[in-house]
Amino acid sequence: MSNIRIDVKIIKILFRSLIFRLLFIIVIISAGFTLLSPYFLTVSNIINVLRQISYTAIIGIGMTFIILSQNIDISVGSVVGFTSVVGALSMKIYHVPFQIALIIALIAATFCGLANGIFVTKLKIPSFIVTLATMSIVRGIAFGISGASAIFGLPELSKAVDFFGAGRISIIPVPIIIMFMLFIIAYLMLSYTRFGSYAYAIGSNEKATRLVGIKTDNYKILYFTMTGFLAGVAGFLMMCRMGVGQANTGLTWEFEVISAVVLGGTSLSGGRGNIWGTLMGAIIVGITRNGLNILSVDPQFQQVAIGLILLGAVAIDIATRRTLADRKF
Amino acid sequence: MQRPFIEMRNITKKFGGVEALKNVDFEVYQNEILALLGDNGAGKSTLIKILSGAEKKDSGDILIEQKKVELSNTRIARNFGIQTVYQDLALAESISAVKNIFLGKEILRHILFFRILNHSEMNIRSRKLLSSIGLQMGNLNEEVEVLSGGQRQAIAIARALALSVKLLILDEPTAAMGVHESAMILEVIKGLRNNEKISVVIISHNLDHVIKIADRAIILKNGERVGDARISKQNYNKILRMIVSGKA
Repeated sequence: MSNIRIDVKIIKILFRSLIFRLLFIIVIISAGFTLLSPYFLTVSNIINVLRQISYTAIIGIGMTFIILSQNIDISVGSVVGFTSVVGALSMKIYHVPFQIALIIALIAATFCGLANGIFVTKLKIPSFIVTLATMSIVRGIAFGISGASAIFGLPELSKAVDFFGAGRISIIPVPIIIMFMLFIIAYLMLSYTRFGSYAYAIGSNEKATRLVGIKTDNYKILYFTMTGFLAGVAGFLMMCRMGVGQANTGLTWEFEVISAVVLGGTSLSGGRGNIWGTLMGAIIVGITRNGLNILSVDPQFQQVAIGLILLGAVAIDIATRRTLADRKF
Repeated sequence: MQRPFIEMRNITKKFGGVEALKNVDFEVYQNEILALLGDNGAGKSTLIKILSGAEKKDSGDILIEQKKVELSNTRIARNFGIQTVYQDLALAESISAVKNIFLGKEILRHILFFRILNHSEMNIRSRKLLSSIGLQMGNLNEEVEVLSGGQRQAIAIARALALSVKLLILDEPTAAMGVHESAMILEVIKGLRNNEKISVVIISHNLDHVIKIADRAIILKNGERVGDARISKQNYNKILRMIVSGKA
């Protein structure tokens, strides 16, 4: 009997950890799909899922900082499409080398993020409204400069584009390696730098943070700028992957990115979150889509499933947090 | 005769058509606990905000150690050793006690070309700071949200002490606290004067608490200074009269 009590106690301690809870969800969903299909739990499929989620997960890094600081950016999907077009146009029409096209595209994307940050902080417009507007503006510009057509036949469909699009290091696709490297950098920033630490403080109590002399507006601008940059990275990688620049790349990605961040435990009211939670949230979304694809479920119903998982996971997390908080008092 | 450590002379402040402060004089001596008393709307918060650099005065002078200064922002006030703990404590609830104590003044260390947060040093210093004001806390990495009111007040005070402080301003330090926690905080405040040799200004509506720890009181009414008195049980009624009627 006492052994059972110890086991229950250990389980309760483990479930206090957000990462453990998310891992548990991943295991449950994976187990379910494995039972339903023998094609799910294979090395190639796992790598495939990680590659598919790497683009939204990369953007999720920036979104984590933004949501931590009590803001939101729903223009990220549009920035992806814009970057894809800018990169492709630079190479196809203006014949710039791959490296220069990459720099141009990333500058363009970063500028979008900077603009968001300035409008939010200097004009004091809520971030949802600002990024709702820039979502439309940026996508519109992307369609405009591309003539609403896909930009095929990139001249630099060379080793560079192939490497970033379809290349691997050992058996691991390059986007996955870039994703993990960026997550490690983000973790170090959040844990060991003022830049990262202040995202929590600003989201928790911006007034208090300002009162101690921290220039909160500057940090918020940096978080939006960084997110624009990361959306640019994702957009450029996607362009390399598809070999095409398209204005509608990244359509509805903001939903997946925000879902990953919120599923991963970052609170929409700011001040609380975990970067590895974001990665796990992206994995949860990814394996759900992948599993439903393997089972030939209609894409529309996949959206329903993702929405329900998001609701369920957040509800469980809120309930768990409430129970743990009550016990502390 | 001892000169005041901080002097405010003829301070005036208007908000639109409302005169919040009318030629108010205010002085704090070294190593004293001064109570700033008065009813709602007396001008206490405005005076304190001017002293802490959060508001600009319309006219008047501020002297620190007999030298005229301009406290045009909170950073300048902090550089002069003036720290404020506001009534709402201004703590970030979802981060830890350590992070709150060192918010804006983090201790860094160098690794290669990078300057990173020195968590272990901040932990050690936080524990020392809290211990110096008589508070022992178990886990300093818990979110402040789960702590009691008294513990939060102590963290807010520790945050003020983390930098070199000569004058600590406490706005309603025992508001919404129970008997036991109020007693703890009052002991902490006495310790600041006795052990840390820090001057303290407290704003409080609780005259009983003020009587227990303050050395002197300055009373404001309708934006004017109506009197001051040494704190004692004998002066209790006189102080009360000044607060209510504006007359000694």
